[in-house]
Amino acid sequence: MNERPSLSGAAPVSFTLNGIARTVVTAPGERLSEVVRRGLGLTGTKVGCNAGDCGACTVLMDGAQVCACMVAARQAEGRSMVSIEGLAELPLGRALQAAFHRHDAAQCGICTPGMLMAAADVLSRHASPDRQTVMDAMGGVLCRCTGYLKIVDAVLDVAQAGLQTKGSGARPGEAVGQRVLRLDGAPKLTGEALYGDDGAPADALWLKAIRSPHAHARFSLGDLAPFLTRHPGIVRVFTAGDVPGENAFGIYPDLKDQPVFGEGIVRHRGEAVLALAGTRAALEAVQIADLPITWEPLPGLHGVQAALAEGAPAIHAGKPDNVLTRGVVACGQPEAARANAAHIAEGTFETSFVEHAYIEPEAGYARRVGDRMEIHACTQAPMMDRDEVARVLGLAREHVRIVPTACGGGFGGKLDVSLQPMLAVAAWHLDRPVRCVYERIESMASTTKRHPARIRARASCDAAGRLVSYELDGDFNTGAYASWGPTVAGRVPVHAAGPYRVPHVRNRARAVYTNDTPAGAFRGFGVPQAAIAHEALLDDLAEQAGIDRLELRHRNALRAGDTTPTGQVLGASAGLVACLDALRPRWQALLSDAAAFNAWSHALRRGLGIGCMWYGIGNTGLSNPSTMRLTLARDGTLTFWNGAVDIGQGSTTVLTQIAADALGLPVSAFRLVVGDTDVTFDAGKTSASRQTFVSGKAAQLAGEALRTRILRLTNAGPGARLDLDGARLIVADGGEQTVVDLAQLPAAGDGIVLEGVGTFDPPTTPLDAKGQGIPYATYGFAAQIASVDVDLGLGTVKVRRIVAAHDVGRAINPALVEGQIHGGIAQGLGLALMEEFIPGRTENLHDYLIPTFGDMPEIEVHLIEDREPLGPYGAKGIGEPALIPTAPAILGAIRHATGVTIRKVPALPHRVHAALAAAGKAVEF
Amino acid sequence: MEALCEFQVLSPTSLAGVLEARTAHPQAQLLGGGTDLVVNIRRGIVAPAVLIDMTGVAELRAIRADAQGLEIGASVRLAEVAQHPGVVAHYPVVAEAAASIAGPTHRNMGTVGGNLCLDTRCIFYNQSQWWRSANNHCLKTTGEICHVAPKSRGVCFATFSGDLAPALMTLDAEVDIQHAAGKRTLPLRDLYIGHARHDGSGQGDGKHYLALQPGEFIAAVRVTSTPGLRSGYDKIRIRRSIEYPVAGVAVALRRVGDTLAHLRVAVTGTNPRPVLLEGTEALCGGALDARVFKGLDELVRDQIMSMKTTFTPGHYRRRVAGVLARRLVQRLFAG
Repeated sequence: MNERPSLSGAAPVSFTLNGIARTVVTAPGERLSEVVRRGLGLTGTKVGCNAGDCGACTVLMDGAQVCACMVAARQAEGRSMVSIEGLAELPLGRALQAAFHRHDAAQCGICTPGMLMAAADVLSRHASPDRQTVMDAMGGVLCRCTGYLKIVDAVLDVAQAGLQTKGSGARPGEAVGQRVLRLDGAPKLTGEALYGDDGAPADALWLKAIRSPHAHARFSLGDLAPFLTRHPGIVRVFTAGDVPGENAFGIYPDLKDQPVFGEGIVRHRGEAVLALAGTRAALEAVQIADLPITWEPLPGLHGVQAALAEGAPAIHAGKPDNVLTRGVVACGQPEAARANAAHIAEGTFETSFVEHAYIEPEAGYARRVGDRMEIHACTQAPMMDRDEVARVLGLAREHVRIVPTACGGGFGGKLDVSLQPMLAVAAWHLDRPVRCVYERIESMASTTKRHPARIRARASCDAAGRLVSYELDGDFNTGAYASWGPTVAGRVPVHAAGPYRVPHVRNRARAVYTNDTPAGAFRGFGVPQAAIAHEALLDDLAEQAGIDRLELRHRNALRAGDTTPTGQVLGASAGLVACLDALRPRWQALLSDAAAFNAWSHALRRGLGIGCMWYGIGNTGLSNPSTMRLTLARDGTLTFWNGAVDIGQGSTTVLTQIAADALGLPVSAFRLVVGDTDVTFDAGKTSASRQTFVSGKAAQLAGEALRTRILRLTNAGPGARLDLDGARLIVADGGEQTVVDLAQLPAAGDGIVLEGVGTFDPPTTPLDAKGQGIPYATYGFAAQIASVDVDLGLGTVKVRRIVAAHDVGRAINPALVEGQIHGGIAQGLGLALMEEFIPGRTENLHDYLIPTFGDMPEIEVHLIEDREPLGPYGAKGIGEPALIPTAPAILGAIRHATGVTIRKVPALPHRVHAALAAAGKAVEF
Repeated sequence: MEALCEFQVLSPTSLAGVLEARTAHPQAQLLGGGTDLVVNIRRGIVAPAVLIDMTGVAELRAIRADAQGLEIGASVRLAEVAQHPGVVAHYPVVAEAAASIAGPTHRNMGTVGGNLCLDTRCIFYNQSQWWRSANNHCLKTTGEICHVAPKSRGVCFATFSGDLAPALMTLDAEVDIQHAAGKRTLPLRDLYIGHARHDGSGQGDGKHYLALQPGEFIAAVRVTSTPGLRSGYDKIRIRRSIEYPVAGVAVALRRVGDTLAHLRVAVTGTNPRPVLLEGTEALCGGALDARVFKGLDELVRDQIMSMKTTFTPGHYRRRVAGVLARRLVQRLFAG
């Protein structure tokens, strides 16, 4: 519905957009972003925050980049504007699009239109800008995926090389290992990719949730009839009583503790109590005070200490101590062993809530199709969404279809359902499409966060620096509802001793309910928090033992054949030693550099830190299968039915590369069908760094299965070469060539003549009561070095350089792997230095700070390929490993520079300054 | 979606048109780039029925910067100020301050008048309607008490965080203030009345922070050049762009031989007004030595009063404002 706010006082505005003169009747108060998107239907311009904080809506106005969301429509009168849809007409516009594609500068793509407009602005002002100029001039646009560096490279490439646009393709059968250009990249560069808010049926109503402004309150609803009379554009109000099935959702089968609509009580600020469906204009006119809701605020439990305090009230019946779940891993006798250790390090560490800050807020629409429900929305987990919506509607899950839209970033935040159940309830009752998009504040207030952690840990080693014991007690604030809390509590004890050989371990984690924002999945599931502790303690031990920090880690690194604290023997692909070997020359050079710098520098101190990590790929001790399907139709169409959602990380491209090589046909031969739950098999969720490893293996098996069918059909040997020419499938084996006319083969009803299906479920065993077992089939390993400058007068920290070495098993697509590493480093830097979500406070993108262009260090990436025999062509995962070592490396570097250990992140300038002052290290100049 | 406030935008193209619009709509608010105001309207913080768009007013769009003086119209964009060769060459403190504001998109829209009049900020004020309704609206909106200083007896501590004002104040700038009957000129430092005193002196605070009478607005800001003046601006921020200053410091000084002959220091991001430190003259006349820095410290300590209005603690903001001031003075003196 391209309807806009009420047109009382409406006035025409005339402007030129993309070279076309337009006159649009705009409502009072309307912004240029709304005129362009809803008035003119040009949805290439994205809206991320509606407050000028993210720059996703950047357009050119008289040649200058501006945020369309901050321009009152009337201010556009007489102006000439260009949006992404007109970029190709600008000088260098096409070259920029091509360079972004070539450099993989667009991952999820939601910021890309704004980025490209900013880039066009830069290049129109500077014929040959340097790196700094580009970074400064594009600093108004945020990207949460790429870490910015590939964007800078792309812009500089165009500036330096002009119109050069050649790309890199891959030869048939040799796609794996190539920098194949993102297969779904082109629409992201033209603004044509459709995200959650970019399309809905024309007759769709809008939905707006009404949420609790209180963190803990009882509430009652009065008579809604007068409200509805006063707001004729509102069609219906939905409350808990309107939920046809179960008014509950949650990740775990036994933990459906989160209501779609609160029932008399709310447990966190931002919890939905009802939803309104109606025209957009009517909904925009509603204030929370208009509704007959009586709130009775109650004292809230904020933070784990309050929730665990003696006598604290229970937030959920059945959990009297507010402990949602406990996780443990125990082996050996840590206490006894520690008593004999040469060196002991211990400490308490705290981390904050961290917001995913994907630039695309939750958005989508639902429509009822007969007795089925269809949801089109951005998501990381379509099959899980399907099952949740089915439960809420009381339908069989086959009666729900999830069609993922393009997803403008996820990072774990779009694994839980958000608006899907509400949309489903409304569309079910109204039998009319219903759409919704969260405002930024609503998104930040109501959706999951990274768990704040309070960790006490102790490590010991012998005189030679060999680790003896590790003990950790970690409390993780899971907020008001379970979400992924059990995953965090389960994953942390497995990983908490770090990627090291430690014979005696006792790691315990608890997920604790509070009245804070629910914490869920966020890139690493608690492991990044735990890594901050183990790496700080290793630095301590290295100092005590007088051993270089890298060498200490090298000495203790897990190697193939070693036993982990869960009793698992690592069979292969444990490449931490290779990572450290790759970093060693840079470590030594950068140590010398820091020493030389510090010899003359007074207020600025340079330091070097190192962080190591390991990360189990896939679910912890749980089945997490994926099934992929390839088909050949009688008309020669080769289709890849792929249920793995690409949230920008590149699984669509990577899985196709794998399938292509397994089958023996080029990537370009494939038609791609991604994510639709009606037509693809369950690939599992896009999380836990699992799609390359698990779905990749399934894709390999599917490709091999189809190849086997073809070879059998033609009696060809395993080395045969395949070619697809229309409906002619040519199989060449040595000198022999067989041509299969696909049109002549017996076909199923859908025209499919040949099929290959592959399923892979990584072999794991559940953990026992002491946390013993095989939680993961394989692990990623990594080490990163950070070089930072700390200002002793201001407490500010500038990260200068990160050198990253990652054992990925095999880099299926090195460009995409680098992209994950860059983006992970950016988020790790944010975790270390600036990101702190305070419920009820920092619910926007200028008080909640994520890194901008100018905050990025130089990054060097070393890819280590210690092949994983179980993985597709040896590959493992990279999504989460990319982030985990960064914060520990930065914190270690601050310590190296200043001698001060920061125990609470983010290390904001005032915290660093306070620590420096307490240690007598702060300077006045 | 947030509740949408409807407003009417008038777009005069001349000063006469602005005055006419103001007469017709006395409650109207002036709109520059909208980078702050439009966001505040969305948050339901202010709800003007009429906005007068100043960006098309021809008389307010001129910029003149040379060795004699600087004059900038209120509707000049911040990006133009930052890049203007005359400003960069002769008034670096102004160019540096302008270049450091928010991000490129904001500087392309934001205006000099808008930045000079930037609304004061506070974590209890710059929040959504939804948030404020559940947290007892504060003094700056419709509430009774200042949540930052509940015992403030009606004094609001919201913080001024514009970058241009301190820069121009160190150059002893004047502002032209236009009203229906004509024009008056005021030292820029006197534009800011947010002293936030409890003494009943009638001075302003974070809520009433500008010395503008109803119907008045800023037309231009002007500086007379001082030969030999060196100036610079620096600020603390947690990230490189799209952020209000944690604290910002502008310094202008003159060195004659080895003598500090003139010194102006102004600070933003701390008080309800940009503070041009009083008493810097007394630090001049001698070498740049420990006495000067100690004196400067005392001025900062006495005159900078940063409260818990941002996510960064006040004592830190005051402390680092002092560090930035010392560094700038030292760097500029050394040349």
